[in-house]
Amino acid sequence: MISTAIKLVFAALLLASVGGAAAETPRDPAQLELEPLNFVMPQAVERRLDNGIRVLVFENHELPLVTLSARMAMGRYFVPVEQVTAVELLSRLWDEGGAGDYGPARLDSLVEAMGMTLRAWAGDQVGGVVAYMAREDLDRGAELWRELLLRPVFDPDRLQRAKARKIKDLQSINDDPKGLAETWFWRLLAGPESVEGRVADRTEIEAGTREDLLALHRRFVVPQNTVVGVAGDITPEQAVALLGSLLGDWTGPDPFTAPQVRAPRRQARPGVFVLPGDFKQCHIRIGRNLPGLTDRSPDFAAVKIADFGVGFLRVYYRTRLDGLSYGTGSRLLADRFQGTCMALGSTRPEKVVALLDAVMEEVAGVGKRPLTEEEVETARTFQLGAFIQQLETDRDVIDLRLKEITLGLPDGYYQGLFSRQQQVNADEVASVTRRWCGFGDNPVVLVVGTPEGGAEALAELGLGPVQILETEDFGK
Amino acid sequence: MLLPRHGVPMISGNIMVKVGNVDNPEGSTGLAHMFEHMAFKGTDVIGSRDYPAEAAVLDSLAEMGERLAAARRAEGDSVSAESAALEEEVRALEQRANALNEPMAFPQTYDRYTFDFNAYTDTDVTAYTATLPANNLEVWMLMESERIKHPVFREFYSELDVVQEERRSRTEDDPEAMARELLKSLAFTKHPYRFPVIGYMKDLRTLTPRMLRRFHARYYVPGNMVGVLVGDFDPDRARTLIEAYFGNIPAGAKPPGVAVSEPAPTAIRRGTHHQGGERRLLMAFPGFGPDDPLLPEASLLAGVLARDRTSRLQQRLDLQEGVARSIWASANDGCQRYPSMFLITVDVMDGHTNQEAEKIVWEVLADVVAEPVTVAKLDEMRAAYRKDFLFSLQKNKDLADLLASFQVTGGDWRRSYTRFDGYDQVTPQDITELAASLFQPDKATIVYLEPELEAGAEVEDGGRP
Repeated sequence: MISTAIKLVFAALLLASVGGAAAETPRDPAQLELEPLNFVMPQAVERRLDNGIRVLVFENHELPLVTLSARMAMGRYFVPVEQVTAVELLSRLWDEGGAGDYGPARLDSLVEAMGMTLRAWAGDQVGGVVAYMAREDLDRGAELWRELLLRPVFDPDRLQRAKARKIKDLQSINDDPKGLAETWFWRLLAGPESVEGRVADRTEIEAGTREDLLALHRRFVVPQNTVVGVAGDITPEQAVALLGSLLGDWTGPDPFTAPQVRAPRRQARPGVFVLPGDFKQCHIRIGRNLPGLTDRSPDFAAVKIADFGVGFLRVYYRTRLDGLSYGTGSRLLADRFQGTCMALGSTRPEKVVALLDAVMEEVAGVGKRPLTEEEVETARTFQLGAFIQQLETDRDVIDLRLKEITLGLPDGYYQGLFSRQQQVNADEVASVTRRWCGFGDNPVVLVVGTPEGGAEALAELGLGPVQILETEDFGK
Repeated sequence: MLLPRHGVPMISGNIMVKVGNVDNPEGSTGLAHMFEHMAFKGTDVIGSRDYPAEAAVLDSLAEMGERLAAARRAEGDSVSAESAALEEEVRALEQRANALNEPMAFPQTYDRYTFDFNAYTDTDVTAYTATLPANNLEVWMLMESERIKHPVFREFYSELDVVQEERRSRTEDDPEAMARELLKSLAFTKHPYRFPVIGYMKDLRTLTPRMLRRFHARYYVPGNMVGVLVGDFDPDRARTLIEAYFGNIPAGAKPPGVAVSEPAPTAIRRGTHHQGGERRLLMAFPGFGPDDPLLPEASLLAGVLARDRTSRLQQRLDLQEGVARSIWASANDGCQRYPSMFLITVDVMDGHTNQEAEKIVWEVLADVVAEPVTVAKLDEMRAAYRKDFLFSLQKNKDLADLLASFQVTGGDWRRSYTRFDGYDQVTPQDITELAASLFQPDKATIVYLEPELEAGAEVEDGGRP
């Protein structure tokens, strides 16, 4: 069956042999007359099981594959800061620690024997259990998915292994200048006690227990907090029947209190910081928190256009053209709580000041030199492609809708955002860049490495005294 | 190759050229990769304000570039006064040329019509990829054909700075990348697989615009390239456009391949690289080319060793003994034109040593011979590889890359799936025999990545032999 399916995919393949005289063709895309794009957003079918669980189905029979995906509102933003490490351990162990009556080794061998993928995780705001499998394995694969969703084991030996691996990850931070810059930047911008900025210590990791993980699972993985997506070689009727048999008798607490997300509180430590290190390149980060900007703000569509326009079309190209960097850019970001204006990149030690100058000039300068209509059009094309690409596979279609639901976004949010982005004009973009782009008077500026000229050279930026950070032995 | 798929209204294109790091001239490591960067610099039409005037300055720059490269070759490790003066002149000429062009015009033009365009160079091929809304099909034809037919290598020296930044970022500041560079330099003594794709810094400094022109004339010819288009398009229209845009590229001569063969190793080769704070073990054995009849066995053997958590190396090193994590084995180290490496890498946990990990790896390799894999396990693996392949067909970009890779490196895109027929013929005894002949100490190249030495410390094993 699999071999036949593979051959069917290639059945439409054509070979075009090229040769001979060619017609005179345009040499600049501006000379082309292009048709408008006709795009209709694919929609998942929505159903409910008898016990109230929402089910989304997107049918596609091109390949004999099926995806089952459960999503829950859960993660690091839903727990007090002292439980964040437990959430991280849960995420690491969930799909490796056994399920139901299957110990971890047995679960591994069943999953691998089918060549299926079975993953479970908890992130910042969303957790999930997802299975990708061949249609011929659906019955057995779906049963494993259900067991992992409802009855994870969190095997104690595997928990010890997960702890050791997490500690190893921490120990590796100092080897990777990019990871080091990322870790320290969020510590400085959000604060060392924030969810975004904290780094777990070894004692905390070693103290995590199986009971902690089971308690987190019990709290968040309940039918009232779960939505399920099914995609691929399956009809909505078949999907509902399958899920009915798997989850129909799943009941949750009564009464049910929905988990409440906690708005993360950032406490920035503005200033210019250097974390010395013996690297060939220095990594830079610049940032400012933007309270008041969220992904639900009315101008968020224009923010997305500005993000690409400034970060890529201006900062990236300027620093490439100047030969300063392989990959430096800026971002204008927002989630449900707040926004961030930041820049990130790397360069050789003798060019650090030049790179920082170039980045700040481009990001702050966009207020005086707004993105042109042409740049806005380019950014719109990028966002158009990005949106359509997010829906390329059947699995993508349900993922986007599951994301919308679990993040608490209004129905049709993404389609609305997409439509608004396509209508944003240069004036609107100029308005958001004036308001949100730039690093203000008190940014966080971080250099990891040893910039030429040291602190004195950085002091010339005029952003205040330079503070030297001390390397920490993470995970020791 | 045209593969219409009418899902979302997007198309993914891949122009793959049969030229990679193995084709670089002696002493010019990194040239194929530098060329790929320079293929984004525009044409005589896209990116120039006054091409005749710009071309004259670029010719002078190319001439000066040769002199600079000669001075740099002669200077050794420190910058000579002559090369410093020549570099100033080169930079000034580039400024003059830039006044006559529109820097970054090619990518900025492409940006207006695409979601994503990029390129990559590896040991064996260079590929130019793009994903764009389906209504911009003709833009893809135009941009990709123009840069093959009429490239202009402007902004050469600023781009050379960028490539050197890339080397610092992706290789020199990455302990594992440096250890891999050492491994290749030890595992291969003759074949150009011993060189890094990004190039050595000393070679990068001596690349010139004229080298690019010669490289273009030699390798960027139709018989050495494959184009693949996958996605939402009308195949008849696509054929017409392909004929119009690509049909007039001169055929050119077939480029030479790599004539050098790697001699069989006769003794174990070892090296140690000290950087950072982590330990990693890298072991290589002689690998298999695309036509090697043992490739199916080798692929399955790699799976037996490290495909997943029930594989033998993962069981011993990770789950049973806690010595390591991220254990990986590959028979082909990618889709390659020549026999390369059978590679095993092991990320060693804190509190354990590379020596300890290596000892266990040798024991597991011996166990593959002593305790043959079962037919049931082999069957599982064969099925799993087929399913992996099925999953890889979902995205147009991946599919375009897959078709191009197999056509260019193996000579036939159908090999992407007919290789599984070869897997069906493999028996447990085949696996045992291959393991017995391959995993011999005198065929091994072993590199330890070790933590950086404290100042003044002695290197115990002599480091790089």
